[in-house]
Formats: sequence, structure tokens, C-alpha cells
Amino acid sequence: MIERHLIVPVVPETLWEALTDPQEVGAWFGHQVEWELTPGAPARWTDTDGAGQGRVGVVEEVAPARRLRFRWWPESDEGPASEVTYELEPAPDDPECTHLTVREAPLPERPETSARARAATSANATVAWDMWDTRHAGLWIRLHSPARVGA
Amino acid sequence: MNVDAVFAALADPTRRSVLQRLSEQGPLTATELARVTPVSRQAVVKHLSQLADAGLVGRRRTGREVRYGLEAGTLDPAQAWLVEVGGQWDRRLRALDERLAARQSKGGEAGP
Repeated sequence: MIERHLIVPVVPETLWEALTDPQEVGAWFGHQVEWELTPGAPARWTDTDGAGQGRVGVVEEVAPARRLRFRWWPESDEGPASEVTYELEPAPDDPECTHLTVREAPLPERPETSARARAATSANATVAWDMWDTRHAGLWIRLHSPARVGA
Repeated sequence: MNVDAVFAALADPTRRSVLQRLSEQGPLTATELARVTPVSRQAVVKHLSQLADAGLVGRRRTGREVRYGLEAGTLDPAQAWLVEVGGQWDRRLRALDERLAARQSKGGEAGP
């Protein structure tokens, strides 16, 4: 639902480290992360300001220097679960640079730890999220929402 | 907070066109909507059901008729989610960009 793009002046492997190494993530993400880069592994984020909420979640897909996908939700259980995807590609005109695409989309239900519940959630997510349409759905909301938040 | 149901409801062009028509013409019956939508009345009823479950349309009974009307306020949490989460990523990516640019200019990369 959210999509952002960034071109960074480092090769994909270096960007991957910045995105995944707990020593590096804390410096820019706004949370410290504890995780293992293995599909199905649990993850935990602690707010580095100390004031905010912790989050917990599950690593979903790991393709080093290419794609990372994880699901997360507030530790307090208030607020939707969502799925975050990082996609890394060498920048088209400069192999020393990398194009990062970040997507975050809310999920229909909390992933549980059982494989069956997680499989059901994945099926729901696949049915509910046609990525082309969700990008346009986000635009539609911006155009049609009666309350324009902020400026 | 059920923004996922709102986004899922909006992820279909027929449902978006139904909402568009309701916002332009006010409350309509399923039959009236089916006349101006290129799908069957049965399909329109299914779409209206999903839109109602997501809180995007409300059912109003006037005599023997059921009219469907836009519940405009329901978009607000979805809009707020986009703004809040989008803003978080803007901040994070700015910080990531600065960090990597600083590293690059300090010669942090291994030479070719």
C-alpha cells in the first residue's frame, strides 16, 4: 500500500548489510532489531527513543542482496499487522548504486505461530493484495478521502 | 482498526466505480447500480456486501427498498494510515540515505 523508492550510492551487498545487520539498522531505522535472516524466524523491534512501542513479527522471505520480506505488528496488539518488503536492484545506469524499493501493506489478520494459520494468512494476503491494484487503491484514497490529513 | 479491509475493498476497479457512482449520485439501490455497472446484479450485490463489511457503504432501508450510500468517514483511518506509515518510511529512508552517503564519501567502500 505504501511504496517508496530510493537510489543509494553503494552496491546491493552494502545496502543489504545496512538493512539487515542489527548493528547497522539501529542507526537509521528508529528501532533496534533482533532477528535471524531465516524464513519463519521471529523478530523483535525495540523503539530506540524508549518512548514508543515495541513491535514483534516474523521473517518471511530472504534473498540476500535482492529481497527481504517480513511481517510485523505492535507488541501491545493495538494496530494492524503489516507486511514490509525491501527489493534491491543495481541502479540501471550505475552498478555502484542500488535502487531500493520499500513496500508496506496492512494484513487481514495477525499471523500466528502455527504453520496452518500462517498458510491461511498468506492465502488471504495473496487474494487481497494484487500489487498493481493496491498502488492505485492508495492513490484513489488520496484523491477521494474527504479529510485531507496534513498539507 | 481495519484498514486492511478498506484497502482490500478498494483493490477492485468495479468496487471503486461503485463508490465513485454513489459519491456522485447519492444512495442507490443494487438494481440501479447494476444498470450502470458492466457486471451482473448478483456481482454488484457481492461487491456491495464487501464494501459494507469494510464500512465503506451503509445500507438504508426506505420502505421496501434498500439503498446503499457512501460512508465517507471510513476512508479517514485508511488515509491516516497512509500518512503515518508513509511519513515513517520517509524519515527512515532519509536517515538511511544520509548514513550511506556519509559512509561512501569517507571511502567506506572497498576499492574496485
